[in-house]
Amino acid sequence: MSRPREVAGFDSASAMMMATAAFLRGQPFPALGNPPMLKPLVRSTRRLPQRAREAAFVAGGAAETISRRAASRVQGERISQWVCEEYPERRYPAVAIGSANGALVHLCAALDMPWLPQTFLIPVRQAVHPDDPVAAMDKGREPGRALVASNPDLQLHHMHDANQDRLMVRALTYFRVKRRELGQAYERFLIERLAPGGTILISECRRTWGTSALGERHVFQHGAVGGATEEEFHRGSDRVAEYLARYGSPVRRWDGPEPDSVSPEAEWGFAPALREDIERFAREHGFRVRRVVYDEPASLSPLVADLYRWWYRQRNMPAARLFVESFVIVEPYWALRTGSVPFWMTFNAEESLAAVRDYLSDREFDQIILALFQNAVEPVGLPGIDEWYEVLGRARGAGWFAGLSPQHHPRDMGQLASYDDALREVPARYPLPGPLTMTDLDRFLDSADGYQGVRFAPS
Amino acid sequence: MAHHRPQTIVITGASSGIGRATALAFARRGRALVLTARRGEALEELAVECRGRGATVRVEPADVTDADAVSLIARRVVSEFGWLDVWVNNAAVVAYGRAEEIPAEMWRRVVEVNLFGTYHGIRAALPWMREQGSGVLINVSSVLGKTPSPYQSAYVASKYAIRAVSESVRQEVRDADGISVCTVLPGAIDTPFFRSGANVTGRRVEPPGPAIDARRVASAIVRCARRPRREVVVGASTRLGLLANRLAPALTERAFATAVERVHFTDEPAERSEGNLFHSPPTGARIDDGWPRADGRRRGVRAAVVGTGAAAAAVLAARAARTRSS
Repeated sequence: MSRPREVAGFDSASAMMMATAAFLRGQPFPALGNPPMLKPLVRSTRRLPQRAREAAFVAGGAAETISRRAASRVQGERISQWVCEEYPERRYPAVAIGSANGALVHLCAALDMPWLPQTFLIPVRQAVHPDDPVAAMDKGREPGRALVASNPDLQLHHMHDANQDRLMVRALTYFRVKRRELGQAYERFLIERLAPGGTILISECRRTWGTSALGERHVFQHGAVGGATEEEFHRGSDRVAEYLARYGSPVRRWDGPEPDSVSPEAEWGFAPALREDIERFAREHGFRVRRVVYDEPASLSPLVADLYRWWYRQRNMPAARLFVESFVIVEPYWALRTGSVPFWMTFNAEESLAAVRDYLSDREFDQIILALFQNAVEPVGLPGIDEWYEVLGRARGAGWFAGLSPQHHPRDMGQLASYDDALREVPARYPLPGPLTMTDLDRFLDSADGYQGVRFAPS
Repeated sequence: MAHHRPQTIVITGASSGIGRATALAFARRGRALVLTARRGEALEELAVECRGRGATVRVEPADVTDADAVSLIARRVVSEFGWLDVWVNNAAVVAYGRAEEIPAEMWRRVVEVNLFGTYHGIRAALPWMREQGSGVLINVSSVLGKTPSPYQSAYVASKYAIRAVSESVRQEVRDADGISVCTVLPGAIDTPFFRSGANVTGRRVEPPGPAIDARRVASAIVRCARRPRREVVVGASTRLGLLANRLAPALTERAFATAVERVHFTDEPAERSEGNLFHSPPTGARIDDGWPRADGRRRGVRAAVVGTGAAAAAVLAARAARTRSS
């Protein structure tokens, strides 16, 4: 079954799920899963002027949108069905369900564990001024209401981020749907593919955001994780004013709806209703439930990177190369084949820079390869390229960007078709190892000092 | 990159015999040799000769039975030269005596040096070769890695095992196109090996037939490094012996036992000796030992014993096969 029309391929959840499934099929996930034949075309955008490159970026996103009317025809079960069919038909010792993040993809690769996302992005065609969140919210009301009405097991987080998604929100609006129940497809998958007595690992990101309730199971979220803070979206700041001026906006702060509730963050946060349903299902079928609860989307990254170092050392490997990924750029297959330690960053913004700097503050690597996501915007909180060079300079040997043309950052669309080649060109070759078990994971966790903002717990 | 850095080659058991000849065969400008054996002084002396040929040389005295010491050599090599191109597992010892008569610690020591030494080399080198995505592992087995011989069961067992390990590891690195594993199977070689081995037979040992110049083995190893091959047999009589063993293993086993009894062990008495098993000798750090050669320079009466025996075995085997099929 091919990806349902209504699901965005450029989104974190679908890209990460497809990368996980590709790995479990023993395959790499090149160019974010796009056809390799398109790579020369994407790379050729480097020759275009800046405006044309931005237009190409928007066109790529717009091509995946559905009409407002089609929103009412979205079927959550069809999306779940597609997810389940992505994974090879065999038994698994564990299955992860819940929030997305790149480190989780690598954890799944290590544990031979499929991951069933809770959240998906439905990109709906909608033209609004990016700096008018109220208009965006109002336009999304009706298609959102229709979507929620036809999918009682979903909740809708309509998200509007004029910072990171400035270009995209001109052409589309972000409907993020979260499963509140497993649903038939996920339940069938667990019964057929999870080994008897196996473990369901619930991935629970605790990140929340102030929202405005628009109806039952329907909220509007102004802003999103990455660069600008929640406070800056709601109250403005000098750097927001500077950013809006730089982009020729008629406003100097966003005048969004006043939040009246706190909800799981639209893209990354875990909606707890699903946990109750998982626990019910596990009780009925004799599965174990385990939770990994973490504060921020990237909280798991140091833990998973250290797990790989531990694993590599056990296998008599140097574990001296760090592969820093960002946003949808995740490549579990080549990380393992090249013996690289994967460290995932939420985005290319300042929090991500701080996270990787913090990780490197007491760890050394001979080589650092940095795959910096390109979103064609210079938003609030975007570090300069020199700051990323400083990170690369922390390698004892050499550090380099994976397929990036640094002078074009953050508008190098060609990078999205080149990062995988850069990793594949690393000469190191290691065999794909047998998976770790939950017991191995516990041994690692016991040997570690604990990781800030991460907690593994039985249900 | 390959044009600007030296090709780095590690050779174990480099102080004498095949190892020494191999070091000299590799030694030339643009190559970095890392010589290891127990005898540091002998290695230093060899290093001078290799440097004279233009090679960069690092001397690393070590006992290959020490896994950590061998791993440390690999780490130092990569740290100094940045790369590890070729690792030759050559160090070997022998103990002559019947299986039930030879002291267990001697038997064990032979296996530890030959087999574990090779394993330690593989274990030290492969992680770096995987990291760089290329490299050639050359494991020196023996014709006795494919044909049995009496009075040296530990040696034969270790050489069979080295070949087996090579084959297993070769299968394991199939996912890494740039890494090759070669096995070299020399026959009887003119080296100090026969005199330096432990001996509890009470009889003096000689090569079992015309000896091959160690430089021919060295050339084969150098060729393997340049163009890796799965298995390389050195010496025409060696090939003949292996062929015979394949065609008629039972017959060849008997013929070899007789031939070895007659020509490998002389009637001259020999004192019971541990040889170089546990302590490296002060002398003997040379390539040749002056044994009759198979290359015509010093032909002896025994020159064709192994070859003839093998050929005879092959003929008998072929005849037996015809009889069975008629």
